[in-house]
Amino acid sequence: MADEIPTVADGAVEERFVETVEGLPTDPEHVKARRRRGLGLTAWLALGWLAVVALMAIIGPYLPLPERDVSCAREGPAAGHPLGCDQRGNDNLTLVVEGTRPTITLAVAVIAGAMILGGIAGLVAGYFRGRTDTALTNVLNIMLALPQLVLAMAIVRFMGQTFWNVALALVIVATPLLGRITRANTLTFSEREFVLAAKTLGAKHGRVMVREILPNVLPAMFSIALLAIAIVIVAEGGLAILNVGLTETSWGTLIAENRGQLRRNPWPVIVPVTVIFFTVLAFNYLGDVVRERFDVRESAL
Amino acid sequence: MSWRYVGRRLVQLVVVLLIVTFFSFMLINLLPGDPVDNLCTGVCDQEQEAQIREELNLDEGVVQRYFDWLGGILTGDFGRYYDSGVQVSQVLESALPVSLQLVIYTQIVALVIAIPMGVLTAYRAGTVFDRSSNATAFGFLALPNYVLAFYLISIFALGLAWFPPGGYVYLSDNPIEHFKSMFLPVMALAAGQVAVYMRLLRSDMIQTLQEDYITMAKAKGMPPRRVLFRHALRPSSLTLLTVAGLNVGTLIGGAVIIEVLFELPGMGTQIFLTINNNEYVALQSYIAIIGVAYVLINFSIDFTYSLVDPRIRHG
Amino acid sequence: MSRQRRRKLIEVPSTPHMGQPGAGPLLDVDGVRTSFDTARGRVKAVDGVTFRLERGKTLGIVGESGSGKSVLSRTIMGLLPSTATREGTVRFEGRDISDLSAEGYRDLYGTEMSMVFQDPMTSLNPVLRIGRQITESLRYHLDMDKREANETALALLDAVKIPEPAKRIRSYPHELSGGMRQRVVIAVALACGPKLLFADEPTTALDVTVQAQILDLLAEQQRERFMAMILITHDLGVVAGRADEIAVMYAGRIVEKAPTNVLFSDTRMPYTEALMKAIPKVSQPSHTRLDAIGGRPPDLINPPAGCAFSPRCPYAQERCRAEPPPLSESTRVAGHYFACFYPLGHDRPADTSPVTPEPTSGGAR
Repeated sequence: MADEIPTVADGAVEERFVETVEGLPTDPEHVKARRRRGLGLTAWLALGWLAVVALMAIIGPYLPLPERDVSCAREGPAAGHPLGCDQRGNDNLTLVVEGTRPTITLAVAVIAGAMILGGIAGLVAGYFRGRTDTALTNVLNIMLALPQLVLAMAIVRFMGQTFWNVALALVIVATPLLGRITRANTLTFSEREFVLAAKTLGAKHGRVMVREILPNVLPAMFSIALLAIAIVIVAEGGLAILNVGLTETSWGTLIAENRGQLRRNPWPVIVPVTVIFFTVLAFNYLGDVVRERFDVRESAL
Repeated sequence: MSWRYVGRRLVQLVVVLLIVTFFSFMLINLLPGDPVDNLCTGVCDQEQEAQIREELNLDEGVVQRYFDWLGGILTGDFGRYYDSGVQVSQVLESALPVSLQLVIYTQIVALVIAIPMGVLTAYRAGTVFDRSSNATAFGFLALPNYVLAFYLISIFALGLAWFPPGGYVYLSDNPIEHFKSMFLPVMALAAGQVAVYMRLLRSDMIQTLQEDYITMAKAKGMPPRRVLFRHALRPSSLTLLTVAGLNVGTLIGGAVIIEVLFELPGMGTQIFLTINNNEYVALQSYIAIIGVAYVLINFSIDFTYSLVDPRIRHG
Repeated sequence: MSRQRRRKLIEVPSTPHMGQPGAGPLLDVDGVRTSFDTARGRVKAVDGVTFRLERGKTLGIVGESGSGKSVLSRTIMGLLPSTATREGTVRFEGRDISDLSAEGYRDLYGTEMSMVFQDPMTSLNPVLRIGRQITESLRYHLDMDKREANETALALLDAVKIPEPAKRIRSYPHELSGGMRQRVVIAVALACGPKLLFADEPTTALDVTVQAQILDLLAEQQRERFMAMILITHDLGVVAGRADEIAVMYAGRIVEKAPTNVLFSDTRMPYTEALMKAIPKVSQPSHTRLDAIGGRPPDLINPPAGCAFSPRCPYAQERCRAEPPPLSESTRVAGHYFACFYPLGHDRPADTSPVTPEPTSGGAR
């Protein structure tokens, strides 16, 4: 049987065939898939991991974890130190737990700030359109033309290497991205009837934006926020490697401090790096899940 | 092709370029404190300070200084390093090719892997092969490039010693070593790109494979491989090529970490050094160059699009 | 099958096929059923179709959208998606081609059977030149070299009456008008000299003025090449003067089949009559109301118990709704089949008892 091209096994061709045959629509495959109740196993794993991370961030410093033990220095996994130690004898697991709080706090703070600023900018641009929109978009585009990482580096360097400066730098980088998404979504929604209805009822602009458009835009923003947190965590690591990151122990600084020792003892780097990987993976996956649930039109990526 | 349209686009381009370069310039000058102090950080004497003040025209207003600087750039004077006195243009000559090589190799590798994978997963959409490839792609998408870099270094450079853990060898000196020294950095950067490109192509291919002319090609008796690569690939590759082109612009500025990790003497490393050593004049130039390159690349792609699609041309 | 063996004795595509006399029908379709599994159930697109086609003859298959006519043609050719299930036998030149592998079908395409699709805008690859789309089959199936293939392509473009073929051969599809594109599609289909051509609504997407030209072209090529053709359409007017035999399909089945002149002069199925009434005729005064067929197309997942047309048939009786009428041969005119308990014409119930219980496969005409 001619079961090779163009028979796409996800049913899309079959559906088109049948449509042509009987002129009646059938459910597209992804609609069928979405009716599956609850979350999959992977989603639960992701949530589980993130819960662990959150826990580490909150109660980490108070946990009774192995302390510095000089005899362990530069060793890989051994008894009592399941993930090895760094060159001074600090247990890698302890370090990574300790480093969780600054990293996560940074990520959450940055995303919160960027969502507020970018959200407002995007809503305003998408709602009012016209010249406001053009002006805002142009500013956005110019900011995006400059190399983002370099921008952040420069800001931190110039203003001093403190937690809040790093946060500021990352907010400045993240806001245009979130603003863009919000604007795109606002544009779509502001055309819809319920917005027009609200306006004809005499609602003022602010009210329309907050009451009508915002609730519809939030799911998309939320999924992007999840992805953005992942990006900020990665960025924190990157900035640290480049010596413009946080100063307190964080996932990033662990990598930065220990990468010189990579040859002799890779564990102090591999541990935080792997933790970052899992966390980012979890956020990405959940971001995807949220997007699929709420976004009717699936984008290519 | 209306000349008025072309003229309008060029004017827009120039405006954007001016703004971007202005921003690059301003960035440095927004520094708190006196520029001279920042450059010197305490190691200059009176004479050197005066010299710097003169060089940078610090007596003049910001806007005037910007145009002075811009004039310098356009004539090839990118300033100098204040620590060593080396001209930035000299450093650029050796650093730029390295970064370009990194970017180009990465794109080539990414496309060479992503295109067949995209075609095959589209052809076999819904099968185990497709789902596992997609899952793997997702994994690589989420994998930050330096994370992958550390894994690669630990396993292939330190563990197996197949590749050097860092350093750069010029192509003209020793081709084999050159590629060996570039292999891991390129892999680290390409992994994420492969994932993005593969998914993009797959999506477009799936749509194309449902077109009538593909059924027609089948009905002509053409074998699957020919239909896939000669009939279906070309119409589906537009988005992919556009994104790949745009990515070149993005990669130029985004490879800093990889260059630093692998000790490649490219622009990224220079940026890292200049920021850490307060060499703000050089930094200005680098940021400007990257920004301009990005704008130019985006513009060319946009422009090419409008050439291809008559509807945008007159818009 | 190696390329060498596939090489035909026919060098120039316009040499007609001369089958040995008495070798049996070119195409023998027996009890073919095709269904699809969809989210809402199993759609029976083709529900038991039987017919035969001799070399050089034209069969017109007429039906509304949803009647299964397109699915039927693709079933015979083997162009169905993997989600389709099929039953029944299809024989081509005596060989069973019901369930070949993909490669097996590929050997048939182009050289034995070919298809012209409905929409010339989408049937041609927009990024490949016309010439290339023709020469590709020639080079692949007939092992021609580049020069030979080009010459043959030029000859083909000439045969389908495209002006300035030497210039056009390098054009892209979007540079041609709809009618010209369809001619190119025909050229592609005929390139390797198939014995059977499926024309699936070849003129539906074209201007009325161009339609006749295309149909004439098809008829001419068919005559020159002694090629059999299955002409599929929803418009009885298209097949009126151009088919040797016409089969009317409804809800996946043939409900009437007869030589053309018999079908028009002695229509038995109420559905066919309704189709005819819907054709505008020059003899009618202008602005005459056309009788549309009332009601909705049948549900192919849960077809009605009796005759599929009964909900819409003006002559339907109890029996029609209870049991499906079998396709049976008229006792008056040999070769005229219909599936109706109360057919039109003065012969009422007397001659509707089936000759055989299942769709027959008597003489092709």
